[in-house]
Amino acid sequence: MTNTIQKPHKPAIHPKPHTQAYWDAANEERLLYQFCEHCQLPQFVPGTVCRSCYKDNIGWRESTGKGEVFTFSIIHRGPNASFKDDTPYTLALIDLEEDFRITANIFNCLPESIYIGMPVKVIFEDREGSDYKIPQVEPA
Amino acid sequence: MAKKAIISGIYNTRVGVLEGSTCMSIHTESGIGAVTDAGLSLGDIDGVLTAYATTLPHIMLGSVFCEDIGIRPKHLSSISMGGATGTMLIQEAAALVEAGYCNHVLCVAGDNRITGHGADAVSVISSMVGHPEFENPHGITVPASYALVAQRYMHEYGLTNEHFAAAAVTCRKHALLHPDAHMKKPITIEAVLNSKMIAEPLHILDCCLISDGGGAVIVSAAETADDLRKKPVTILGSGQGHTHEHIMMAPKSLDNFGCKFSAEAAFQKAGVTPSDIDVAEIYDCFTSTLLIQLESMGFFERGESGVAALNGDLEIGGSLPTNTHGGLLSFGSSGAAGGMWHAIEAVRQLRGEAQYRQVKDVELAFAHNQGGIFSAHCSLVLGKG
Repeated sequence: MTNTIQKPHKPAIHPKPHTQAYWDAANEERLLYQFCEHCQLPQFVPGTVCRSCYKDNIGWRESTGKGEVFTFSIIHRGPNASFKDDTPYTLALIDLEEDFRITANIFNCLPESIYIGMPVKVIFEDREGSDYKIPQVEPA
Repeated sequence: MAKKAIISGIYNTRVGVLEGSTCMSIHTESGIGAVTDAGLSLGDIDGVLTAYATTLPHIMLGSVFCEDIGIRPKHLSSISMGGATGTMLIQEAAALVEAGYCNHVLCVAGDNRITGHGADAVSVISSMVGHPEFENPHGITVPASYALVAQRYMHEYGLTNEHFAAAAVTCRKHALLHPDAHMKKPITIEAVLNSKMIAEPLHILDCCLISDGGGAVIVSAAETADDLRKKPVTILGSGQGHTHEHIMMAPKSLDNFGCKFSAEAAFQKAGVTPSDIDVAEIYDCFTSTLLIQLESMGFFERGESGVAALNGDLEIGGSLPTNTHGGLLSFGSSGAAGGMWHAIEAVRQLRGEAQYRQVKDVELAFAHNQGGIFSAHCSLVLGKG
């Protein structure tokens, strides 16, 4: 059965005050992460304070977008109908070379070619209906 | 000096598809059942602790329940910590009793997740757990989150799909010995490995059930034991551990979760070690969750729980009978009640009431619940008398 009229939307991104800069940068195809100058530590996901010193003097740095697959799963059943056409798709935890971790889908490769430790680089998905480009990865 | 807390009453409803049930009818049946088991009446209950319910998402579920059943306790709270809630209610009830606030605390949980949510059950629950900005846009699911951990753990420590399947088969064997269990038919390792893939490496038979059902536990002051109908079970130790909510924020190695801390705290307080435990009832939302926790909590060395499962060590009669009621994988899973059933089975084993599932000479039992994605943990060490 095809149903193009009522195709459900994927979850929309609603930035918070402390994540707005991240999503604005994503629209410029730049990957930002938080960095506490006091602790000299990267932080992701973004927070309102540094999770080490609990102070709010936390800034942004730009990542090279280079990283590797820490772990992954090929998903055969998505969370709802909006992901049905994508299955099977790959969900992964990616460790960036600046020592922070993101969740991403791995694009532009066969699922069976993915392995733990695989080098990847960040790309930006221009998703239909989304106000923000979404950081994803592909093989480096 | 602090008072001592005992478990005086337990009850579980039948588990599965309970036509005509509601969240509150399940709570009521469970509460009255546990009070009756203890030899008490509802009027004796001076404290009530409830969980949350996805079929009745009220901000004061405890008040809804007490109003519904018609009691006015001295102390009432509702705790919402996902799958960890069941043992947490018992731990909090013990703290209330030990501090002298209450003599008999009724802990109750239940949901009618099948008849209440219908086909949407999986999406309803999945949408509550993922990070709205940094996970959900990538199509994360609860099974996928656990699969991320399982995949890395297999890579690091050598667990295999066959090991996971052996855990599923063990739980199913045990469920077949329980008259109230959701699942009634045996499965094989091959059946698990050939079942529909959900999120690699997890097949559908690696995943817990979705059930209707409820349970209740009464925690009492030990000094009331003479008034009670059943032999007391003592809460010897308890502990919690918390490291994150979303799996991308977990300690980075993904092999060291709050279960390590909750179990350590519970063992230390009880003055025992994992090798002293006669029966273990451990949260098994996925087969991988069970095996990884068994290793993290010190019951097995890293990479050895899978071989143990294949060898039958986790079966009744094995060296560490585990999930003797069938666990979330085969007895049933219904929100916070799912974890409470682990504690209820531990009590039955200690009382010698587990019938065909009875493990011989049980002196010490361990019950562990977990919520989120390995996020929140609560362990109990329970003993006779």
